[in-house]
Amino acid sequence: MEAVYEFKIDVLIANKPDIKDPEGETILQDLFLRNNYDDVTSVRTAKVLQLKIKARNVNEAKKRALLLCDELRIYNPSVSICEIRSSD
Amino acid sequence: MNVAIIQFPGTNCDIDTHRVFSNLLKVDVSFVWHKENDLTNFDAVVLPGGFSYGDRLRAGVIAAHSPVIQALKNFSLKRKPIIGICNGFQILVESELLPGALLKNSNQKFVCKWVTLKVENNNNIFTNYFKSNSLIRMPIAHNEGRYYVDNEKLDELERNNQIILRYVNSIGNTSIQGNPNGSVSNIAAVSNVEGNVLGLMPHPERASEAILSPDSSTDGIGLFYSMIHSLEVLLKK
Amino acid sequence: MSKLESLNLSLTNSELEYIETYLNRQANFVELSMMDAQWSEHCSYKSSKSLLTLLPTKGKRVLLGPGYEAGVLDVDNGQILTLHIESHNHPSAIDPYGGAATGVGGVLRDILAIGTRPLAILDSLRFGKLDNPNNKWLLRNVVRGIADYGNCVGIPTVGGEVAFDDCFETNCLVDVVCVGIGKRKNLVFSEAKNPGDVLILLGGKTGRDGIHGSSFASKGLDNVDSDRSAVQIPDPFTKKLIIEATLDALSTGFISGLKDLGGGGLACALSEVSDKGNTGVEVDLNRILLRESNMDASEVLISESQERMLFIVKNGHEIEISNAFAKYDLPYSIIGKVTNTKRVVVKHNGNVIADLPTDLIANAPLLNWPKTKPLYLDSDSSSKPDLPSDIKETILRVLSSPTLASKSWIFKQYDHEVGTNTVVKPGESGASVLRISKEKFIAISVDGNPSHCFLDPYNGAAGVVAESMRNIISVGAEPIAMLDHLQFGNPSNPEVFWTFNETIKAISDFCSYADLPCVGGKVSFYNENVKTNKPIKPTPVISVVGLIKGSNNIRTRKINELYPLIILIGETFDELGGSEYYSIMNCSGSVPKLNFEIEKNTQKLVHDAIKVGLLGAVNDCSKGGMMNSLSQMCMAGNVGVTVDMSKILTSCKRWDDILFSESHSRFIATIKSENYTNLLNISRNYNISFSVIGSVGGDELRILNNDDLIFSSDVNYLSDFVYSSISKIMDDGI
Repeated sequence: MEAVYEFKIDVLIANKPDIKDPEGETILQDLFLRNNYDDVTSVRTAKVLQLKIKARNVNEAKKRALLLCDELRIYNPSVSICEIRSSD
Repeated sequence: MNVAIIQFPGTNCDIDTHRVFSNLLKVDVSFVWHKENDLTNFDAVVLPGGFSYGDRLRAGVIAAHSPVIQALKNFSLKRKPIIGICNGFQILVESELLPGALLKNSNQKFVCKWVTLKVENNNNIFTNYFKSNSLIRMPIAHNEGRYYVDNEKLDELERNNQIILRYVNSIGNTSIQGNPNGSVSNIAAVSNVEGNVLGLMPHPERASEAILSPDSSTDGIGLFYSMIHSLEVLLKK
Repeated sequence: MSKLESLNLSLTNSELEYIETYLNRQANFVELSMMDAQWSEHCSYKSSKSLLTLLPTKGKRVLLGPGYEAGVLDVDNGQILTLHIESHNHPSAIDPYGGAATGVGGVLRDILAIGTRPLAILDSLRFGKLDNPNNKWLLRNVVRGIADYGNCVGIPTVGGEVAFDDCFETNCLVDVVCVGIGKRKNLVFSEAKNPGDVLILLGGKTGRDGIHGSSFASKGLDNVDSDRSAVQIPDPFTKKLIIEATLDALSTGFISGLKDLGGGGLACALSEVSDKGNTGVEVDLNRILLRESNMDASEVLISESQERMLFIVKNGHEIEISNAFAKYDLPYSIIGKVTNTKRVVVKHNGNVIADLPTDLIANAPLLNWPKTKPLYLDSDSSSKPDLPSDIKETILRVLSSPTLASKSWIFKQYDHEVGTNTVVKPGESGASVLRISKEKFIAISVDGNPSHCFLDPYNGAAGVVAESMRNIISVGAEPIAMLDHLQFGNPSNPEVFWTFNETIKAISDFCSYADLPCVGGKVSFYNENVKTNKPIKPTPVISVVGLIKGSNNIRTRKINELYPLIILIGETFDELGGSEYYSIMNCSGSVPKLNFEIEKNTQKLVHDAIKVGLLGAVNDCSKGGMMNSLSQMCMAGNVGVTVDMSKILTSCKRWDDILFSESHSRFIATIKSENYTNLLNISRNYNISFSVIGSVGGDELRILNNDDLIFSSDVNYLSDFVYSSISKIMDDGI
């Protein structure tokens, strides 16, 4: 039997880059810029799901995460992107 | 007697709250825009409900950086009364004028319904109109109403009698179904140690007219009346 | 791929020919894009305009009828009520959260654009059945979208309806009604009437959102991913600021006209204001604030970026208006002016890139589609179910159908109390009641019945108007106007268009008879399965608004023992075609016929009886029949009833026919025994019959047939286990 490990995978869900992010805009305009943090030029928000997945290697774990996101509609592909990152 | 109602971009319940003071209690009341930095001419301040800054990042956090908040802190140092309703409570917590945090409701959804509350402490300018342990009715309407403090702080709140209202079921007992959002120790309203700042998630301004209540009650106005009456007594001295 | 397809335009060849003939030259791409947007079905109503003129639009309280941002009604003392209905069917199928939320945004904008403050929202939602997880996903996210948007802008969502049918499997319907309140003297129109006035664009920056959104709504749903740019992102916080800024700006008195930017973006807004004002407009695209770089001119013109309003400001008063905007830190720019050329002229980088006569762009050639009566309507198939042996099981099964079940899972997510004007709240009656001044109230309802409309388009459509009116009557209001939202499949399908025609005829006929003017509405075509071309069932949705003077005239479903006798007004017939019961039993029959005279007289009877204080609780009988109506009353009042079926006025013999028939012109009400004679006398004036069928009391809903108890159920059991079906289904998963 092949060894199975547990991998930490982060799933990032954000609005597609060319789609408006009103929450990010408000945080930039009304919080950062208004309070003199004008070196910040952009804010975009995302939701992070921190998963632990059992797999034989990290690529398998990442593939599994992506499958999960697509099949279970964790994100809506017409509005959002889904980035899979290993956080180990 | 002059009451200030602070408006932030996104505040929604300002007109409702204004109506209670001007039409029902017949007290002078003015709107104060969040960019103002002087509250000295007022006797009481209300932070009404709503969605300041769309609740972006976290409810109340962006509003807590408004110019008017510094004036509010000075106002509180003078022990003048401040009520924060719903979003107002969230802003007071983010401004550190009240302890704790208001997290997302445990069922992860916005909840709008009428609840029963128990007056835990009626030795307070906002609740002295009510009998101790009386049950009152008001509606809640929020997404982030789950009050949280750690155990150590919770003990402190109990010791200092800072817990003013608790969610209860229809017969007056704390229970899981009686708690609409998962707040720790079923807390619906807290005050600061000095007792002049009150934060509550339920909406008293929506429970001030019989025609608007499912059971014709008007407990909400009791809260405002307590405050006005206590102030009048104080101002006469 | 044709040249047009490669340009992603939907204009037909004959439309192109028409344009070329009119202009005496070929239109350039920018001009074509503008007309493609304005001539889409969604913006131009080219398939429906001529039929819609049949609807009656005049009434003693009507100040403004269809064709404007919203209908306007006079409700006395200088107060006006505005109303509008919008839908976002196609976007919601792809992005239910954003589609539904921006649907709310859209209807609010129209109410605001005419100069009034939005007062309340209602939603009418239709999905495929909830055993399909996709439909659960749609319901969950549509509700969340409406909730997040309405709650954030602080406008109460006070009522509506939700129904489920297989025909909406690939084409959900998301309709939103908004009613606004204001003063007659502050009314403003979407017209650029004074040459020299300045055009100011307020609000969010313009990006590529929703490009081809309105022509997208005018096609069927296709390959999801390629329609990504049709998605629109909601921004309720900015909308709230725009509401306040706009009302502040209006109070300066320097606004000549106002138009919100919705379907078709700036192109449509410019064409409409110059058409209504009988003037021309000239804009410079370089003055428009853009969110994305490299947008080409046509993209800027047809973008449907949300939260933008076009202000037409008196020349020289730009400062006062911009001060109003500055308070809320809202971006704006002066983009052009009103001219007297009667042309829509667009400049970019110093060049004129579009120059069209207003008359051309604003008036799409109308289409007259062929009509053919659907064959199935002539077949006389009816199949009665076998008489069920287990009465209790059957009744509970019908009552737990999601279409009839309690909608509290939904409306608990809506802040229905904000504004402190909601007097009759969701679940308390079939209509909502809001206070608009000390002793003045309005009632609003929204209803649809595609099952009836499919089997009998004429009676079905007229019946929907009647049902919506009955809900208004039940809360003690006098109906004063209505909105219609007509949702159908593809108009080029002759059977669909025939049905559309019948629907309008039916609505016109009954509204004329009942003196109920139509003050606005919408048409949504192309609701069909793209692969099979199967259209949805015809779904006219009707919203009626009513007026109540005096809080003592308000009624709800809440029965109590002060008014202990239960009466059923009206006759019950064997016409269960399209009923909830038959849909569960999979049977067919004839659809309830609407007798105009009886309906009108019954409504008058109930209205008068309420006014003279004879009726306690009132509820209309419609979906789910009198069984459902009775149950709703028990749950609202938290008390039981005992009803004897043999006392019901009917020629039906079977218990299921009696309890589940959806015959029109029926109400259930409660009275005090001492008022029976009074009521009888009034009813005789209207030639309407009623009978005492039972009494209020106990903990159970009991149905007898003479002395035999045929059904009983604890009222708490009904609320906790039967009517809670939607909550159980939705809270079961993610």
